Amino acid sequence: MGYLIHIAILFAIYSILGLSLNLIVGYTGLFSMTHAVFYGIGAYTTALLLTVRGMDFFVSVAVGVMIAVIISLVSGIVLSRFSDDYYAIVSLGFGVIVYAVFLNWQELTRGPFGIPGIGRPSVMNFVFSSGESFLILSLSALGLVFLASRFIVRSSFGRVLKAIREDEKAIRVFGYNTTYYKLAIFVMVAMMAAVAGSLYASYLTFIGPSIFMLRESIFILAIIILGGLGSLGGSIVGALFMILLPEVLRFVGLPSSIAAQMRQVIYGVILIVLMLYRPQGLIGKYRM
Amino acid sequence: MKRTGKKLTGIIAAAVIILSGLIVSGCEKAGPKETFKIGVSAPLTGNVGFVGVGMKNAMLLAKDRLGDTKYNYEFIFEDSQFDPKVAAGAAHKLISIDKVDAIVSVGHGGPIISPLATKNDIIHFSISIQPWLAEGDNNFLHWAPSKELNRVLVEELQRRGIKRVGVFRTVSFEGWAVYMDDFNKRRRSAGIKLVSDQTFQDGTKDFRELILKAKKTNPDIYLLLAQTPELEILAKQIKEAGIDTPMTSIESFEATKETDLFEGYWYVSAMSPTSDFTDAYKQKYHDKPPVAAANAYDIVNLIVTAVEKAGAGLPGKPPTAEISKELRKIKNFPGALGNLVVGDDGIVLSGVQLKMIKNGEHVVMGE
Repeated sequence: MGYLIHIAILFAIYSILGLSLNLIVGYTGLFSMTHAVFYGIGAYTTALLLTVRGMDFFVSVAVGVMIAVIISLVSGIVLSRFSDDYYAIVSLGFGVIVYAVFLNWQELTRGPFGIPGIGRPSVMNFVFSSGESFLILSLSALGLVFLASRFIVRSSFGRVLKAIREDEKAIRVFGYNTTYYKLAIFVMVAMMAAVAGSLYASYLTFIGPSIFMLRESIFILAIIILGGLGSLGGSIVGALFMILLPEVLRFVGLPSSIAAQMRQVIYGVILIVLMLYRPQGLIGKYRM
Repeated sequence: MKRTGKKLTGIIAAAVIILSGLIVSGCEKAGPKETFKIGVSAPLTGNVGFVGVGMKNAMLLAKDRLGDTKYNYEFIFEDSQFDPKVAAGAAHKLISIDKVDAIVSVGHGGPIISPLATKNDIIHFSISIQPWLAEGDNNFLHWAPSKELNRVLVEELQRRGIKRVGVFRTVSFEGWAVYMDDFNKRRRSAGIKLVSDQTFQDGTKDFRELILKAKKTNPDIYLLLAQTPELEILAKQIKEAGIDTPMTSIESFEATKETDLFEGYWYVSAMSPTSDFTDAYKQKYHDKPPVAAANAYDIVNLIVTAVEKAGAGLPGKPPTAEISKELRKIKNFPGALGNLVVGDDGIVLSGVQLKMIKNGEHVVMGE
């Protein structure tokens, strides 16, 4: 049961990350590689405030979100000037800078040692210490992020985002300041990713810079491409698939001498086959 | 009288036969041995997959050599991919599904598994540089403490009259940062000056600029805190720059296969497996044991020793608290890394040695 709960908690956290990234990649058409950055900012904020300051988890989430807003505003002003491949490269550069900060600012982040002993959330003397209670908290956060994402997508603001994805120059002709829209969605997405980071840090009780490397951004990107770009449901299905598949493969009966290596091969083959037959993702509507 | 005697002999004989039968059947009823499960969360794939594969090989070798034991020992290996998220999944599976009695982790898995082991009341052995992982009754650590390695290093630097040290170090792994922190603390009190501290990321290929900067400071020796392949690329580029200043290291020379680059150089290591272990490993797997393999081998033997002692006279498996107590009682244990002592703090101490590369071989100095 503990194992299933663990998988469910990871699913909830990665669904939040998938939903938020889909807003910028799937709906706005901006190939962002910065998601692990804001995920990391939320995680580090919670880790530091809980372990060093002994603050409340929910206060740490709010602080993490605020820091994510400030950093995303600053970086977003630069990023919003770019589109297409340039956007991806600049966002990649931004990710490298923040990773270097996590790794090298040892006085604050403890660098490669990481931060252990991060506490669990509590509300009025109730501590979310059990897997079940933490799962409820994670699913609640997922529910809120889903509702917020759906509201954005269905609003006139969301329709402008889709128009930017389809033809940015054309929407500009109609008088829309696309830089503002791109910056606004970038900040909103960063806030959501920071919430996921706070949950992750508190759940695993340990974080280190290696968790928030480029490969994590690629993993989250794979969730939405596999689930379906431009589809909120696709983000959730993608997260379920990407979290569940490697765990299911642990139970595939393979010779023990090559089991781990073969699981990696099978994992890769499944992803390739899926992309061959469902290039728009499992329930996606839009192809990159 | 004769008839009575014959009857009595017959009765006694029948009783002996029946009793023997009961004893034999009673023995059979005891059934198969109880199984003590040891779960292992280690990187079996990826860049450091060789570490996990070496651990797995060494643990299976230890199992082969256990001899007669009260319990069966089963090993379940899960790939952690050196990723904390995957290591957490592996640990939850081992604990909830496989119901392991003990768990062994390496590197990034340790900090996540340590609290899980405490929560689920199972023994946890970590192979890691971070001493806090041994905190709590259930947690143990088998890796030589950085302070001890640095003590031997600084003593040797002093003995050789070396006053100026230039360091090249990777900042990507926590181990090197721990070694560097302790080195700085100890060298200051020994009056040794750090004239150059060049840092780089894992994956760096071009060290020429760093080498030029370090060369200008004119150190007596270079301390290389890096692992393969950066270690070898760095050493090659130092030689290509025409620098003949000697090089030393903590542990990292031990793992290199390009020994010609470090011929004649001394270094400090706590990873000096006994020939008994190395020969047995080579015989079974036709390769040298990689880093952490000897530690994993020792961990199996330490756990088995403690479980057998704690379980002696008990009908089932011993409770975790008793295994933990027995582990802490282990002193002067003949391990793959020499004489082992389990400290009250849960840290397994093995001997730190001065070694050098001589004719392409890693040899203990003074032997």
